[in-house]
Amino acid sequence: MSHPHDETDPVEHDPTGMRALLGSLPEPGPMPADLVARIEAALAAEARALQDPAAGPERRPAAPDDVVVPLRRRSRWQLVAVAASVLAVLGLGGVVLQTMGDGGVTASLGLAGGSSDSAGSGAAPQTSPEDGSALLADDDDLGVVVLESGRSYASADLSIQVVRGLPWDRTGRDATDAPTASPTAKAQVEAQDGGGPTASLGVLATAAGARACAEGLDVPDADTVVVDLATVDGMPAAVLVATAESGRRTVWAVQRDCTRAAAHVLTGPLVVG
Amino acid sequence: MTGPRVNVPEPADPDDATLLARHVAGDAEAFGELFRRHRDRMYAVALRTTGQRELAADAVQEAFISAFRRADAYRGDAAVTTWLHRIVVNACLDRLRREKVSVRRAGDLGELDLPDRHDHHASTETALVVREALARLPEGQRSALVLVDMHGMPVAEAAVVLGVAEGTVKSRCFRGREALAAMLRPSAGSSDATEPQGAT
Repeated sequence: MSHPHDETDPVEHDPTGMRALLGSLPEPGPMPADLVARIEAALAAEARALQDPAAGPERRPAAPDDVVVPLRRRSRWQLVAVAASVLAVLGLGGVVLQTMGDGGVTASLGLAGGSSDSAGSGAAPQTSPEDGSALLADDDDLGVVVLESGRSYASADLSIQVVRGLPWDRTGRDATDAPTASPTAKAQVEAQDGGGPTASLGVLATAAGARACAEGLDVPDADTVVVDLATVDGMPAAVLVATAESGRRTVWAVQRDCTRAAAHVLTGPLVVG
Repeated sequence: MTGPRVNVPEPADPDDATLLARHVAGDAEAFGELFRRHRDRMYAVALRTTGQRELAADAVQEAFISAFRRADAYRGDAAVTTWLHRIVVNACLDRLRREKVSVRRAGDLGELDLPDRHDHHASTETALVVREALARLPEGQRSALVLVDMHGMPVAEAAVVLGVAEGTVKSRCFRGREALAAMLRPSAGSSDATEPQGAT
């Protein structure tokens, strides 16, 4: 038996009686003392780490078991539309996107504007900005696109840099507006689980790693995430743009070892649309 | 002789936002006070969301550590308790999803590990049955019911915690209640035959 209802019904409206039943269940009781002690010890270790990072708790990189697969799948067009829009946000005007028959997205990134000097480091991009940047991963189950632009962001101007080029349509471009790809200009789509050229770029170079980082930033699963491996204030870092279904975009700059357990935020969150 | 000193008194019982600001500013005691204030509530939410003591313990620990580390990300747009709830619920859902994957791998539906230490009264059996049914709901419906119906959280606040629209919270509550009622109906037969439909 189904009880008709709609959003105009107050939440107290409950012909099933389940609300009253749930509300009558006894409280679980206080947090057990051993758990209190455990958490207090963990917090004390965190506090020591703030004073002396060498004394802090070990922060391991994301393990495969950390990967969370959202239950809500995204449509391919939604991902393409959002990715295209965010690529525009990131000022990567030369990017071309193409939906592939097998469900992948290929792209070629030729920087059309903005700074393109890349700080040298051990995690240097595989391709120079002048040669075009790479789409490292896309995963519509996870709702993630990872690219490596090699751009230089400044944390103080991050929102300005991101806002520049934003379509301001608040919903992302319509999928039909996504630029078409040049068949000869497809970038690499790396394997999700590391290895290969992306391994040196850290955990964020994979879709799973990027989603785990987004989880660490409390980005809802339903949001699409685009990560740009770049530099921020001259250091290898990443810019993460989360786009909600409403079109609202939130931006962070994070270290490249961002994980769910430790997001290592450099700047943000900044709401840019 | 000097005039009377005008001191701005420190509030004896600073509010949560003040404590969080002090923590960000380096006050070593501030976060501990926040933990003491909210640990029982957060544990209850975690326990009711996960239905498993170990998962709840791990999730609530992860959540408090996450809050400790990322306190500077709190912007004051919502109450500190709302922010904490959100972190706790997200940690619980993460744990549940990982658990679901491992349970699937094991080919086992897993066992509910529900609290009963405080249920020493006539309604114990009912409570356990209801909690078992609750644990079988899709996570979106279960989370909404835990916050709104079990903890009395306003829909607007639950929407912030869950990161969805208020209308979504309400519809999840409505659908979750109907699914619960169907599972608890005596004529429903085995619970396996009445698995709730829909994931939201």
